[in-house]
Amino acid sequence: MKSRLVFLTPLMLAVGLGLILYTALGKDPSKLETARLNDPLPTFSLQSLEYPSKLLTNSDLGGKPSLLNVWATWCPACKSEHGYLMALAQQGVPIIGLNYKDDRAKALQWLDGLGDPYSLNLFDPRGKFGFDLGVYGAPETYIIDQNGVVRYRHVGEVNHRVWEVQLAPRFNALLKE
Amino acid sequence: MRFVLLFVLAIGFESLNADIDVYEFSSETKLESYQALTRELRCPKCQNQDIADSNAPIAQDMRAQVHRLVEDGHSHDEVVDFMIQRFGEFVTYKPPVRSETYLLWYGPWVFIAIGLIAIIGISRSKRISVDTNGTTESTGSSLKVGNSDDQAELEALLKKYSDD
Repeated sequence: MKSRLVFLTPLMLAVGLGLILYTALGKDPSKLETARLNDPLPTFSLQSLEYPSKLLTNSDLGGKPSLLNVWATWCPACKSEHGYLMALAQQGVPIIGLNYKDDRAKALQWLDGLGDPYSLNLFDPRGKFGFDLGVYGAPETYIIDQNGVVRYRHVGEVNHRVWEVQLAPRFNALLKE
Repeated sequence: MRFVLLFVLAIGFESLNADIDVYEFSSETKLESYQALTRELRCPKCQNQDIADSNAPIAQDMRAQVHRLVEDGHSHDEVVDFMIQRFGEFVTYKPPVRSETYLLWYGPWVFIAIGLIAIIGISRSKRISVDTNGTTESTGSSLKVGNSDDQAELEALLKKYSDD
């Protein structure tokens, strides 16, 4: 009995450690935890992309569940997700656009050419609000609830699969709250 | 007051454009604090690089922010907390000791302890199994066998051949 314990203990430890490590195997290490999860959006006061004289703040968010999409014209994945964002906007999903570390003229040209899926266009040329939010690369898409609290973040392109699997269930749950 | 200039020269590999950060520090301690912080903070984009080493845009922003905070007189821990608040615990190479990080900090010590206990246990159990099989108490004799009859025979043989 005692000798069995001596042999079983290391085996059990090895199996336990193996299981812990195994759970981390499939994880994409470039996807970080969302530090701002369940925190209100940091306070901001940003120019509107279209109207430089207009300052937008947290009170302009609309008070309903919406997506916040961080994009820039220098970001290739932003271009490939743009069509899908247009489709989501047409379905009635409110999307707030955060133009991140970009050039205003280029950004406006982009929206003219490819269409504007955003209900609100925030202009963050220095990436200050993005930094406070914890953005570390575009595109990023956040789900914001009716109280302006961050409920989810997706890093990378939004496409049909991402929307169906990751975003839509959470977004629709918020609509029912 | 002595002004310290720090030049960080980082060459972008893709574009071969040299990006140069120039930060001015109002004291030597602030420069040292900046250097320590940029080595302890990890770049969220190009992982496995600290922000001093990385040329990713986010690392540049973080260096600028560290400089600003250090110049404003914030302590080392305050700057680290500021970054953790935004980018999560991933961002520091020295995660704080909390219940979720106990395994990380104390795990290796637990395994060493288990190993030591196992070694002591095994060596003890061997000694005990010899003793309980009927041999005499540990004498100066270097050879020992299972029971006292065999032991006597062995000693007799040893005596015989050592006499030859």
